Amino acid sequence: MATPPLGWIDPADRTPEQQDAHAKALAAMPNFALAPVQTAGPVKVMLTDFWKDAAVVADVGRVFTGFHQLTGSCVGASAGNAVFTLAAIQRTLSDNPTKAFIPWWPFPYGRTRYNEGDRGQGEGAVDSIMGQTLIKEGVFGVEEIPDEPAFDTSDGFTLTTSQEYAYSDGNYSGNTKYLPLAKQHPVGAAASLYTTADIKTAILNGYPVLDGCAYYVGNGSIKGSGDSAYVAGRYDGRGGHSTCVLGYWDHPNDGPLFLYSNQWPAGTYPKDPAGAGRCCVWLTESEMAKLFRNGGDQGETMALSHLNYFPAQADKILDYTQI
Amino acid sequence: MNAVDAKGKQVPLVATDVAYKLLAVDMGEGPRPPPPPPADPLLSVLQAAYDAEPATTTKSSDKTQLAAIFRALATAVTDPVVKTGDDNFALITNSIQARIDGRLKVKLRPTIGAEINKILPNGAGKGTVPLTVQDRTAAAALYLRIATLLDEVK
Repeated sequence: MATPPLGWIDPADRTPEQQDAHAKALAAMPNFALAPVQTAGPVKVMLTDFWKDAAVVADVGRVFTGFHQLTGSCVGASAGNAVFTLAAIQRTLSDNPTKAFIPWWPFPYGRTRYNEGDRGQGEGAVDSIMGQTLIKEGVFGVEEIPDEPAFDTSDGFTLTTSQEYAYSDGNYSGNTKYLPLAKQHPVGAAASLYTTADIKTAILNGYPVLDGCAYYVGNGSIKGSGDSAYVAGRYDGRGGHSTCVLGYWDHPNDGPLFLYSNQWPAGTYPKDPAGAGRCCVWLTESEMAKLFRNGGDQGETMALSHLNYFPAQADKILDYTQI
Repeated sequence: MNAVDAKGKQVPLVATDVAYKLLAVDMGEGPRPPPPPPADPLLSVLQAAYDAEPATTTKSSDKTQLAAIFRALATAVTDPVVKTGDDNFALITNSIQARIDGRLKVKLRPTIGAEINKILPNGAGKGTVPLTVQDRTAAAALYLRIATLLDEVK
């Protein structure tokens, strides 16, 4: 298998500017501090299920199937998936629901690169700086910028390679003109995670997890049968990659499993019999723990929360007695 | 059965059906006219709703207008431009507002609306649901029925 598009910059490969920006981002990040969730029994939570919620679909006008990266833009595409997940959760579970929206991920991606000192078009970024960019500069939905390119949705939501490159320049006018707009919709918090227990707690509280790692999960295979069958994966590829963790499952045979959500073609892994969406694979707890030993610590793994977006409109009620 | 000829002689009746029936009626025989169909139960509902409307100088003419509106809606709702529940709702309310505005709204219009709720999708989020051919057909039939019954409401 040829090396798929990656893009998370390993700490050992960072420029002095990137190292400095990362240090500042890390200093600004709170550690995740929620107490573990006490559950009555085994749980299986896939935050991606909320992508398909009727209210979410109604808000965005289609079913979101996940972003698909073509260049070394994993930090941008995975952050987009995390933000969409957060928007979907806030739409469906929050006491004060906000409108679901499909984030225009090229903006925070290009701005992240700019904020870490990268100039011009290119590939690669750092997750910790993405987290701070989402907080300080914000994000916005594609419906707010109707003149920007539309996504090809034949295999996830995909832009062209040239489009990804164009927006990878944070100083590109196609990005900078949206600085005031994005400022209206900041992510409230990006809290750094350091253990698999942190990830579990974040997921069970409805917070998507964005992470960067020096390894990636390149393959998957179906394990088990019947109701307990799932697509299992492991960190089998060497290369910096940013993805999301969007689910947790107390598996009856294999213990805690974590849903690794990638941004590659749908055929990267077998279709999950456990119901996970496009380009997802389950990792055992021991496998998930490798994240933190391979670059995913020190602010590169975070839970996103408190996205500031438009209040959701209550479902309009059609009632003919009001004629 | 016999008839009587010009000379007063009894003759067998071999007439056309029409003549037979005329004679039979004349002779107090033959089939009785069918009993009138039972009143549409919706009529009493609409009557009660109309009675509950406050008396105004235009109450009767408003009812006549409302009947005409629903007679027209029975055709309009079958137009493919009426795509969704929201479209249908707007069609009804725009028609009503144009002719009787806020009148007959205490009881009669809500009562009619409740009947529409029984046959068309309604509730949260249903406004954008496309109407099916069956929905349009059912709506057209109900609107026409409402128009007919409103004509009978006293």
